[in-house]
Amino acid sequence: LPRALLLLGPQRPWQRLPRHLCSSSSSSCGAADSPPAGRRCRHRLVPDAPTWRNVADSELPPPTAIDSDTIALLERLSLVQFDTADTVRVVAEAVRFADELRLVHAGPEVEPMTSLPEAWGWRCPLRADTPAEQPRTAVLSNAAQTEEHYFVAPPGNIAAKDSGRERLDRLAEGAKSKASRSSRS
Amino acid sequence: CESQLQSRMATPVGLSHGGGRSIINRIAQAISSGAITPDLLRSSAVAACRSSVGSSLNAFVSLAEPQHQPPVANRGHGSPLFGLPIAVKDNFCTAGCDTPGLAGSATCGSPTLAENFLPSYTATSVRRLLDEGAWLLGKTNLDPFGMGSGCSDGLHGPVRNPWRSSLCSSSDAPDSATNFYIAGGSSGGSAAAVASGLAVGALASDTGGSSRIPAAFCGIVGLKPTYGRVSRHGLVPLVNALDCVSIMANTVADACLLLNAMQGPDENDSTCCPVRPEPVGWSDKLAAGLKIGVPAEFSTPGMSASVLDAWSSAVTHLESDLGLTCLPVSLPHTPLSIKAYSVLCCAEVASNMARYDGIEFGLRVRDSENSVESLYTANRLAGFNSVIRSRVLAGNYFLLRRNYKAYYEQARKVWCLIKEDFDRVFQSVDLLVCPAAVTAAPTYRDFVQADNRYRTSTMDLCTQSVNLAGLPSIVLPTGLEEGTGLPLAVQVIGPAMAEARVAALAASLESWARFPLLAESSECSLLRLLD
Repeated sequence: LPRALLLLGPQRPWQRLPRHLCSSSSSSCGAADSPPAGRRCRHRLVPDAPTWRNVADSELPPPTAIDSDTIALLERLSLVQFDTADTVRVVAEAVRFADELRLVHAGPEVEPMTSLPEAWGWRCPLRADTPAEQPRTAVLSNAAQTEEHYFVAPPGNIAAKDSGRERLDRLAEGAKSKASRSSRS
Repeated sequence: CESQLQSRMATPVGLSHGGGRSIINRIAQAISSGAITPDLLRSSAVAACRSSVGSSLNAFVSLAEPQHQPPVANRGHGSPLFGLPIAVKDNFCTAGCDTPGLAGSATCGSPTLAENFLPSYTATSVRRLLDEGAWLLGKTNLDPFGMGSGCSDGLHGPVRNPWRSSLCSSSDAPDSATNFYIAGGSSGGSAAAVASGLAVGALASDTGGSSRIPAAFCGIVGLKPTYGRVSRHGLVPLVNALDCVSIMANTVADACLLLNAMQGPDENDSTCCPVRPEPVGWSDKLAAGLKIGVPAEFSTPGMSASVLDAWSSAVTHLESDLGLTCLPVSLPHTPLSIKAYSVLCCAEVASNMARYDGIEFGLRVRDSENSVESLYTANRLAGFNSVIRSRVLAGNYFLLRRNYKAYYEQARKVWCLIKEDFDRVFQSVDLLVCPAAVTAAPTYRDFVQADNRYRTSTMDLCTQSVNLAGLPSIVLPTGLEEGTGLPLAVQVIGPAMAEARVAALAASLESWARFPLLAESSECSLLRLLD
């Protein structure tokens, strides 16, 4: 049995294999994706239909809207711009896709994984904390701009020029209307 | 650029029976008998890549200039890889000083690293192949930074699947700008190069299926080793916790020859296995009493009838012809795996992409130098396409304090459950046999109808859980789809570090399937030289 309790609806749980009903070469399998007429049925262990349960939208928590404040925060943290409403839509869908994880009641006895080597008991040695010599020219060689053997960067104590509430609101609204259009279709 | 001349393959690998099935061994025999020279092999390989038919695939991002010098006499001489042209995905760092005829690069298919980035070192995995005498033919096309299932989004354009293209003499598919089949991603370039015979072996990377999906679509062998079996030093990281250096070849034996040359500890990769594994080899006879598990949850939404048929044929053969015990097994958390993977991937991407600010290396735009924030934002807008940006933003969303527990920590818990599912199943069976890709290769036109996020969420269903569990997997072609004539494949999964067991079963299925490799008939294949 799985260690986490999964919200299983009235449909059968995933663990039960669909019974394969036909043993003849006719196509009266009744299963959704049966082999074409006249062909032998598939191996009994290969399920003809997907064994995944459809999770209804109503089972999930209410969808998160990526509002202007969230857009502003994420852009500042990432130093990456959404740029278009479509990107906001994609991120919202990524979040929605992950929402199903929240249905899993995994108790404190389920340890969050950090890494496979750790789970396998590998040593993962760290290098000694001693400086490694590297020629300065090599270190600087890929920089687009250098000045007297230094990297060059603009001043850091200036917040990005805020292109305004308008742009953020436009992105958020644009994504919302895309989402409602696609749910109507 | 010091190189270690000591061959890692001094111990002969027990692949003698695979000699007939190994293209690398055939070429090695031709070289040692003098029938062909390494110089001829190199110049022919490059010429084939530059031919109109070869270049139409768009498999390569950069190609070597063949050097007309005799190779260093004691470098890899006697190794089966001596003189062999290999292709490497362009997210591996290769330094010009190590790769004669080819400038150093690691564009990762993105404007960010396409300028102002010449790697000063070569990835360990590549170095080890070069130390065996292999020669770097070129760097292959990919989805940017390895993000994608179609190899359609890169800076250098989409890769064409050699199947049903002008490479196939019997093809009737018009070769228009959009009417081709995709090679799969993100290692599409490596797959197309190997499938068409332009390269006999190629390196790829696999984080959620990026070597196995293209292998399935292009009708070749894709080998994803156990996590940490091959050093990731020099592989530009996508998700450090899941990335695997992977191998593409036309046969199981060839893939294992390449694996044996590369596997083992590396002081430059702390997550690499601590002990050198045995070279992978196997005998003709499968181990007595081998138990095969058929995981029910790998019959996924969107799976085509032909993929189910291929899966069924393989299991039927193992049970009825070979008399192996085939048992139903359950990996109950499988449907959650793709969701957990999406969160873990985005979160690490957000972290790994933070280094691309344009200051020390990489793309730096002009006229945005008001502040660090405006410059970094401008550099990253110019360098990252919408796929990369959406993953970074989604990742940082999941990592926000208010979301961390519900999404990121939860994903890590589900990761634990996925791994435990596999651990439990391997207590009762020795190997799993299941599909790799959910369908045969789609056309480019159909593929681009939906966005990258949607595609990876529906195509990687049978592959990414194997990455979460860190297990070895081999994908091999077993037949052609009725109607389209496109390759169909199956996947063999084993417990951690059980590559030999996985390879033995895969090789057995390979002998049974007698798949018509495109590299045997393609007009630009290196095998033509052996005729």
